[in-house]
Amino acid sequence: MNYLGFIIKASLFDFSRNKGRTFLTTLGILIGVLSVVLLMALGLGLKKYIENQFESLGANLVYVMPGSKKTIMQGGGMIGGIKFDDKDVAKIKRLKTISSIAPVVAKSGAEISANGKSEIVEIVGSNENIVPIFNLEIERGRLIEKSDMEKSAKVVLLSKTTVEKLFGSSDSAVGEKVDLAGQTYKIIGIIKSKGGGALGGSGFDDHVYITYKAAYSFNPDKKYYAIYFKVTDKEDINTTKEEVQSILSKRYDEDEFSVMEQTEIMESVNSIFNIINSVLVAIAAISLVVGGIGIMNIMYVSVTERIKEIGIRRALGATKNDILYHFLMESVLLSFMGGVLGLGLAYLIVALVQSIFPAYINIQSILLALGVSSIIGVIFGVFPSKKAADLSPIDAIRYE
Amino acid sequence: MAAIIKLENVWKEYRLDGDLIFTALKTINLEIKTGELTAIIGPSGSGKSTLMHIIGLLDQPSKGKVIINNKDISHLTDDELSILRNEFVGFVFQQFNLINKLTVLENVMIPAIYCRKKTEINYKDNALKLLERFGLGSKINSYPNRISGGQQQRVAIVRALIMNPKMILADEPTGNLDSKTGKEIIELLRRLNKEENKTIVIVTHDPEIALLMEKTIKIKDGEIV
Repeated sequence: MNYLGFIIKASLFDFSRNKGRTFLTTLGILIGVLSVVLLMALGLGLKKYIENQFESLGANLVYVMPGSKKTIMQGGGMIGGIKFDDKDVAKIKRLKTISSIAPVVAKSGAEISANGKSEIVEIVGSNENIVPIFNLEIERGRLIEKSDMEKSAKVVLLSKTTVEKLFGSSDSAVGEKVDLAGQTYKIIGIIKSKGGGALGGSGFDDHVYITYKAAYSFNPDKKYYAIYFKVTDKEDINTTKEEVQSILSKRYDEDEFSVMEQTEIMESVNSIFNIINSVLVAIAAISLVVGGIGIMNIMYVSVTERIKEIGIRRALGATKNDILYHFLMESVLLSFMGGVLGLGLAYLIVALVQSIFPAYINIQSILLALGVSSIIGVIFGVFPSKKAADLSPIDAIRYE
Repeated sequence: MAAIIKLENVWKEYRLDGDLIFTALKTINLEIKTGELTAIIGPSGSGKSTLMHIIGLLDQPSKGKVIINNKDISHLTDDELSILRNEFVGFVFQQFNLINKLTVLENVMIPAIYCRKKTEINYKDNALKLLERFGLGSKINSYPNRISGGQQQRVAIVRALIMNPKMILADEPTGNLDSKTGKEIIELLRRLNKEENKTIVIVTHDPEIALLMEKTIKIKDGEIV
């Protein structure tokens, strides 16, 4: 029997004799690992979801937004700050590398009602280019056209999801009238659903598109919150961004606006998101510490119960370290078992929520969970084990 | 014959609360030779347990030398002492000191687990042979609290023999047994001494047992008398 095999076997044997106690001790670590792994899985799922949303916008998309990159990264982009106007749009439009451009005003939390039903949507006021820029496809009816822009027509594009919520079916909704933020609009087209907007956030399916001129009703200063444009050739993205930067620098301070690609925005969203997720995981990790204290407690009990056994082993030739490793192995195994069970349970829960949320557990979470639970076993096991190892063999063997 | 363990002017003192010093052993000089059957006898409180701990390498003297293989071991570290204990002494205790949650065979194998020497010896085979020889062949998978006191003490003797130590140190080996079983155990130890030339030291308060030994070391108030 080799030494390691022996101490593992001896530990498992002790666990099997104290099943209830072992289970309760393990439970502390189980809950800790479960909450950490689940939060990480949810975080990863959310990140993936956001990335998918951005990717669905297509490539070569550039945003001009108020605020410096730094404030946008910190999530302070849209609030306050400058707004853009027609002059800016016209100047950027002159660049030859740009294929299409859409100035945008937006109003979230607007009420749309028809047929006695109402929904909360986000109004996007823009031009005929916005729907193609967002890579959205029309299912029925037509897109906003230049003529709509010229006439400031009160026409609206709705997602299939919104239409179905209001009318039950999208079959005959084109041409119907809806009440949008207190004004009457005519539905001219229905956009294919893109999914998203779960978790209570606003996704593409919650957007309704009107002309920016029609949006003047809630945007009296006739300015834009952002300008989106697409660059024809991917190679030209950087030079185009620089040119737009220099055009706008003539009117605004460098830190009042940013020209960003969607990947940069995604990075900034991710960075905010990572911070939030890390904080949540750190809070959950507190429960791991509590679990560790539980292990420490039970290890002290275990040492006290086995003083005589320790004495016997010492008399028969076990060194202090033999005893130390013996107890340390026990506490690591306890903690590790909790880690494995917690991970298993997390897997189960992730599999169950898979249909409503794309949470997933990556290899890092697994290694972290198992690694951290083992380390906790060492940290919280070392003091009780040291106590056991430092017992005098003579006193220990006489202990009754 | 060569001495396997020699104590030279050994003192053991304990510091009690305050500045009081209790002297458990004074100027102990003794020598145990290979193949001897020795009794250490003395009333309780005489210091015989302390002496046994020092001979058994469980404790070290405050003063004096403990010489094993011509080497003074009184300054060995705790680890070195543990390793030496594993190879050099086989203990038999009054309380048997078997671990109840381990089987008879597992108990016998404990010293082998802590053996630091690389060896070809198959301890498990040896353990099985010894158990068979001591009439415990059918008990290898039993737990100590399921067998009789005499059987438990025989298991303890097998455990003491497993590393083939230079010396068997038995501390009141009959103290927890009825007189008949006690006699059997003493007889067993005597036979090991006679037939296999094992060096055996029995610590006892019982003069009858001492009479059965070749040599008796009497101890009183921490001194050999």
